[in-house]
Amino acid sequence: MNCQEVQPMVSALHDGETVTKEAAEHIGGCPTCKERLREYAELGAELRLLASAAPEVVPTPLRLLPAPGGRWARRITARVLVPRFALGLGIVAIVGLSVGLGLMRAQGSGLWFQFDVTDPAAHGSAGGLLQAGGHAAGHFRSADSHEEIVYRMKALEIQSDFVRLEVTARAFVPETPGEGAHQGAMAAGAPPFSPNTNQILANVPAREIKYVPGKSLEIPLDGGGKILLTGQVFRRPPSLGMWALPLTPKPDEIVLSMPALVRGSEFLGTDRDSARAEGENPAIGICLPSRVAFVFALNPFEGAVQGEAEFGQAHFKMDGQDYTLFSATPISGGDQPREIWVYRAANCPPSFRPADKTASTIWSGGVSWVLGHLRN
Amino acid sequence: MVPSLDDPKSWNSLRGGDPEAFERFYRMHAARLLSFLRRYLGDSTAAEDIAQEAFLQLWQRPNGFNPARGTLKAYLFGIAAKRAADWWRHHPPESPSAPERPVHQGDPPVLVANALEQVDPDTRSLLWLREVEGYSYQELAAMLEIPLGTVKWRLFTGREQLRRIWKGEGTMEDI
Repeated sequence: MNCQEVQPMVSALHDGETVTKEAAEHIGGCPTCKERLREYAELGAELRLLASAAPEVVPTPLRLLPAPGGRWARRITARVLVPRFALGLGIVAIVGLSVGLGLMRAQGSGLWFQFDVTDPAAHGSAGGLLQAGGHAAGHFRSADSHEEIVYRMKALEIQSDFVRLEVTARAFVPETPGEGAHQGAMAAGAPPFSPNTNQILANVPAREIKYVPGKSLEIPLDGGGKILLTGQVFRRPPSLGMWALPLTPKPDEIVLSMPALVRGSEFLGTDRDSARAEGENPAIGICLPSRVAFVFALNPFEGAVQGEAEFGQAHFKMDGQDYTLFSATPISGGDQPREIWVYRAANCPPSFRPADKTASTIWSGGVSWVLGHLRN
Repeated sequence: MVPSLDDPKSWNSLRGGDPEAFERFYRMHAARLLSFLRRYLGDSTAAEDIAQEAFLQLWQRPNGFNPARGTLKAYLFGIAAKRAADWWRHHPPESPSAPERPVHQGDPPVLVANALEQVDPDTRSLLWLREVEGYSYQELAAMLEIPLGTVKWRLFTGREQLRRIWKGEGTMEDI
């Protein structure tokens, strides 16, 4: 993957979405993409500052409504829009559903069909971008958390007012959660689906459907249930490669991507790098510009307080004050929210103090190793 | 603390025509809605009119809200965004698909407020709802009635458009 192909995923990562393993690997090792991620965070923070700094907006009272006690005539005081800890909020991770957008380059230069399939309860979804003749395949969690929906789709014909598709889909219970079919989309002419997807859908008959862009269409699933298809047709082909495969940390893995720490509404600092660790008690240390260090781990250890991590945020309390840790990607895997353990040291390890007094340092490993550096 | 109307008890009060419940809701969200609409439309009078219309629609037809699809506040913003999009259809910008002033590589960086004015209104709206109001992809898809993938794609192209203007790096075509 190159930077251009990865760009949309940098945007999605900024929004707290999961990205493909390949994209994550590229972004993690690419200074240009990391800089883009930082610029998006900065831009987001600037927009929020713009909202906060705008003259106080005092809407006039509602007209035409009943006015009990004349209260509608009272001037309404605008609320402060957001706390002003600029960059910290810029990398808030809101990880919702693992929305994979399988993007496919097909041959030819016709219309493009961008689609999403969801279960009606919207517990999961997957999507893609197809040209006529192209295939896409994917999976997502259904309303029943034990089930996954696996689908594959072929675009037979794409017109501006209708799309003809061949859809094969079913719900199934994977033997090990997360080890179902892998979402992806491939170029026409290439083997279109992983053996796993083909295996799962081996005996499922394909349905040919006609879809009107902009509408919602229910597609019955083999063996019961249904999925909902929505989509739009575009004339301009995107200049991208492919993206798919939602990536989440493992339950015994801790990851902090461009972390930021906030105490109450006070922004304590951020780090532009990322760190990860896995194993028995993985931990990440961060040395803030104030020279205070924090260690985050997934299991209890001496001197640590318990907090709660949920996707890209963690909350904990120290000395009666509320702290929030933000990460641009989920902090750990497994059921959410989950426990996280936090330790604060009054001084950063000398070897990790950056020369730039506004900068921070991040390091990771087993908790003993991470704590060991605090004692050096 | 003002109780949220997104809790079922308060929502039932509003649906039952309780003006005090509605006043609370108005007090909580009117300023932010107006701030969003002013930025989206660039016309204070139109913004105020549409904010009023959105609240009135909610008051007069509260059953249009489906709690399974998101919060009441998101529903309110969705009503307003759709009305604002209609307003733009009747008041098209002079050059709907291009910035007011062409931006070229090497242009000096501009303030984000100025950069925001140079992107098309729908992009401005989507970026504001995501970055300032913090709506998730799923909420944005439900509010604006577009597919999730479209939300993701438009956020990327819009964010990149805004970034390039902001940094003076030229338009997307310069890639």
